[in-house]
Parts: sequence; C-alpha cells; structure tokens
Amino acid sequence: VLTVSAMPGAPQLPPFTVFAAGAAGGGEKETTAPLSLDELSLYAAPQQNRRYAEPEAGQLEERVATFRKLAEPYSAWCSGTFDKIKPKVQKVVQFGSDAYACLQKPPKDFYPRAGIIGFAGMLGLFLARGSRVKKLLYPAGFMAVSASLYYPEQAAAIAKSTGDSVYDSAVRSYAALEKILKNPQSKDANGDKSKRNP
Amino acid sequence: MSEKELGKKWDRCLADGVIKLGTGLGLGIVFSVLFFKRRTWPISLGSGAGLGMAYANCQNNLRSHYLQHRIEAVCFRTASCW
Repeated sequence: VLTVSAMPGAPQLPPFTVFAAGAAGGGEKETTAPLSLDELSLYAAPQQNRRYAEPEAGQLEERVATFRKLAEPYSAWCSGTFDKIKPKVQKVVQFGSDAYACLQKPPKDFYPRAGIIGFAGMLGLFLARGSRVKKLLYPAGFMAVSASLYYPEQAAAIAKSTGDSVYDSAVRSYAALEKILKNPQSKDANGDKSKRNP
Repeated sequence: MSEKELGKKWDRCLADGVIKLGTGLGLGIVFSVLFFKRRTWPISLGSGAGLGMAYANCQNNLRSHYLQHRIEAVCFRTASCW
C-alpha cells in the first residue's frame, strides 16, 4: 500500500492511497506499514513476499500420473538400452565419417591398388563356379593375398592379432572341455564310494 | 530439478497435450462437417495445431525452471533487479 503525496513543482493534488494486489494463496494479510514516495529507493525494488501457488492437479493429470508410474519400469529399461546402444552407434557413425574423409583425400596409389585387389576378388569369384563354399573362400583368399602384397606391415599385424585370439580361444575351449570331462569322472568315483560304504 | 518436480511437469504436459489435441480434433471435425464438405484437411489442421500448441507449452514449462534460476543468479550477481 503506497501513499502518494504531491511532488514539489507538480500540479497540486491531494494525497491519495494506492493499493497493491494481494498475495496469491489467499488468506495471508500483509501487515507492512504504508510507504511514502520519499521512502522508496531509486536503486532497488522493495522486497516482495509473494509465493507462487501451483494449481491443483485435476483428474486427468492424476490418471496421466498413474499411467506414467505404471510405465516407469519399461521407460527405464528403454533408456538403459539406449544408453548401451548409443556409444556403439556413435562409433559406427564416426567410422563412416572417418572413412569418407579418408576417401576424399586418399593416400598415394590408393585407387589403383583398390582396383587390383577388387580384380583379384572378381577372379576368385570367377574361378569358384559350382560351389557356394568356394564362392566365399576364393574371393576372400585372393583379396587377402593381394592386399598383403601391397600392405605387408598391416597384414602381418592383423595376422598376428588373429593368431593370438585364435590361440586364446583354443586354450579356453580346451580347458572347458577338460573340466567337463573330469567332472563326470569325479561324480562316478563318488558314486562308487557311497555304494561301498552303506 | 528434482524427479518429483519433473514428473509433475510431465504429467501436466501430457494432460495439456491430450486436452489440446482433443479440442483441435473436435473443432476440426465440426468445421469439416459444417463448412468443408467432410474433407480431411480441417481435421488434420486442427489436431496438428493443438499438438503444436501443447508441445510449445510443454517446452516453455520444462525450460522455465532453468530460466528462473538463471534470472535469480543474474540478480544475485548484479544485486539490483526489478
């Protein structure tokens, strides 16, 4: 509530009272004393004790809330799956963009070599008539051999890493097979002992 | 923003979306039957406009939390706000 008095030099007006809007929420009465114009600061606004009262949720909102809570486990599963898939998709996209950038500025003699490697694959496909397995193996083999002639270092590194992974998987499968074979033998031995000692 | 607050905002968004979509669809059907010889485009226009208004409201509602905090942060730094 403000009481406005006449300014010096202004036309003569009787002082009048201005009422500010009441606080939202109802029922709260402000007990602040009325301020005159001279008491108001030029550099800061007076403190406002208003509080925002949210509207109450209707029936439709409550039903939507119920459906949302019911669907929460599924939405959480979806977001978890998306978080797992997203980095893989980003890797694929990054690989595609890197390959495109590489093809735009290829290294020296890239396209002629790619043409010869492709021709080797086509030759393998031509020679592998009559068998589906040969159609898979011959082109891949011919292309691998021709690529290794042009890029021996990369071919050696790939061959070494492939050999290591094949050796590791062979060792693991051998260990698993040994474990499976030993377990039935130990069970049979325990069964014989229990039969001897009633 | 807490999860409870975010959940309430989403509830309000979805309820608002349902109401606006339904109203747009209804008005579209009425106009289509009365003035446009039962064509499909007023229905599509009405439902699309309703959905768009609901989307805009929802966007403002979800952003308002961060804008309010940004205004408060600016007021705190400058120490003079109207």
